[in-house]
Amino acid sequence: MTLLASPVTALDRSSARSSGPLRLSGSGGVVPTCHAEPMILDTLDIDADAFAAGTGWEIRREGACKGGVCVPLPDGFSVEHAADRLGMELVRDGATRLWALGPESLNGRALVTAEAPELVLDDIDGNEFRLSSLRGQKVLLVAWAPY
Amino acid sequence: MSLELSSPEASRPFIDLASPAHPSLLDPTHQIDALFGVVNIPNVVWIDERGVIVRPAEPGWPPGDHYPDWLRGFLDERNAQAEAMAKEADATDPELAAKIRGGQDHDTYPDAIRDWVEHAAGSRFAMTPDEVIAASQPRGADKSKGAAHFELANHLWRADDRDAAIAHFRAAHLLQPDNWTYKRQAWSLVGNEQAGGGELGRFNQGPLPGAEDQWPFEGNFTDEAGATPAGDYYPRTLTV
Repeated sequence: MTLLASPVTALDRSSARSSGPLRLSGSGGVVPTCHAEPMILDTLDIDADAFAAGTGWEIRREGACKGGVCVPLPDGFSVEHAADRLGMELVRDGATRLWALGPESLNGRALVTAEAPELVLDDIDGNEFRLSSLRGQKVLLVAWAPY
Repeated sequence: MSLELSSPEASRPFIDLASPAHPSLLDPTHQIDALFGVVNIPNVVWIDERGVIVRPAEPGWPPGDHYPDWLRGFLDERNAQAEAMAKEADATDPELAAKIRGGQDHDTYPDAIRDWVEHAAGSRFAMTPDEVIAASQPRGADKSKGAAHFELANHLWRADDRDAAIAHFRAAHLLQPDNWTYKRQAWSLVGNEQAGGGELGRFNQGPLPGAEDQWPFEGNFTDEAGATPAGDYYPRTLTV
């Protein structure tokens, strides 16, 4: 297990800002899955598949890609580099030594693409449901809470 | 999608009562905040047949005649109070008056959805992808950091590390001051504890009278929502 000695939230991401996201033409390809589990890590030594599963950003030849938007990763894939380039903040809990990776903040907005991300959640009986299973129908996603 | 961390059982009575024909899902870690920019309840996202978002997260409601009488009465009373406040502000603070009157309209919102169902991309309420992105919630590094703190808070709360969780909830609230689901979730978890649970325990989102020193958060629902004009709490994003 590789644990960094200090948080990486202070990394300079000016390089990511200057080059900006690269918008690909045509289809964004397979939409990666973003599971209901939050991006809680006990190590930053995770592979590209785990990163994609947790964040929805797929690591390809062009860089980190989501819904037709790709951000080059000139140094190759690592969590720290991808987080830096995508504007994802890494926060560490001091006592448990766990990391949490926040969502991208690439363009000053919550959405970098209008393509709906995959979302996999359970229903009340524990059955897994995929948002993408509703393709072909209009979908109204409604957020509520019992409070 | 129910944004409730504690347990599926908290959502079950509501789902059972509504008995929906549509999928009804649980989002205990508020993934839709990070993925879609949801910041309050209710929030609604419109997605077309191709999986393209045509309206980003915004306040929206079902038709008013679906409400039980007690809720209808509560909303009517609240609207009357807000209008009285706005009238008072008309002369002294027109900007505040506009904010009080500027909330999303409950009753006509379903008409916008019906228009989209009928006219699809031709509906005046359906946005282009660029418009959707531009209209989605603002997000800079501070918001990303706030979301990371919220993830840690959720994880630690479920691990029964209550004090550590509260510290991360507080950090999330400071970094995402406009995110009401982050606030109400945390207030509700602690408020429910302090109220001793029960059917309405989760609706207790502030200190109990006389126990203010045991409330671990800067804010609470009554004070913060009470001080927030409708146009800020449920911003109007469309007019039918």
